[in-house]
Amino acid sequence: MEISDAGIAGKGSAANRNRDAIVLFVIGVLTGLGFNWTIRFLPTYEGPAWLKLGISLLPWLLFALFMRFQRRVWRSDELEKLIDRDAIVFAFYVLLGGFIVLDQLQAAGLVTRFKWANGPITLVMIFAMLAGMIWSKRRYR
Amino acid sequence: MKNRLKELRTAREWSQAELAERLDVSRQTINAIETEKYDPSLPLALKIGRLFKRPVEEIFEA
Repeated sequence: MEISDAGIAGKGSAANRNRDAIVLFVIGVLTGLGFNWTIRFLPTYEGPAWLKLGISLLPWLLFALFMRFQRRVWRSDELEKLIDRDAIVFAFYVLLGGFIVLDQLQAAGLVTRFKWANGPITLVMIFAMLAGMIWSKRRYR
Repeated sequence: MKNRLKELRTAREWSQAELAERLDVSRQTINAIETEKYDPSLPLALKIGRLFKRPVEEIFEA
């Protein structure tokens, strides 16, 4: 592959990358809202089971679009992929350590035992991932 | 890994952003390579070598 002195500018200019990042952000927000809406709407909906299933799958279509677009935005930048991988690893170990410490504190009676629910666990996972991304980005800044 | 990326870039009077655009990576990637916080993949190292018309081992050294 020949690269001229001008490089390969134009293939993925900064303006295009910024535009793609904004589109990705919008799709991400819509996906989050979609999941939120189905979780709130489905308990009150009294339609047939197949339609409930269909509605519950709708935000996954947005999620699929998000993942597809995400590849387009980040496909060319290996450091960003590395940052994401590091963030996932960071989040995993923080959650693992956090849950073990929490269990110890509960066993010692210092923290009351509570029932785990999907919602709080999902939120904790999202925040752990965001913290991981901030930590990882700072590493390579 | 030590490298001469900054030296080669400044010799051509390119900003980090300009070099990033030529290589189709983010400016952060260029900065991380120059500050030796990150070693590029082999394809990116080869791309850098082609862009500056130098062998990879002349730009990067272990």
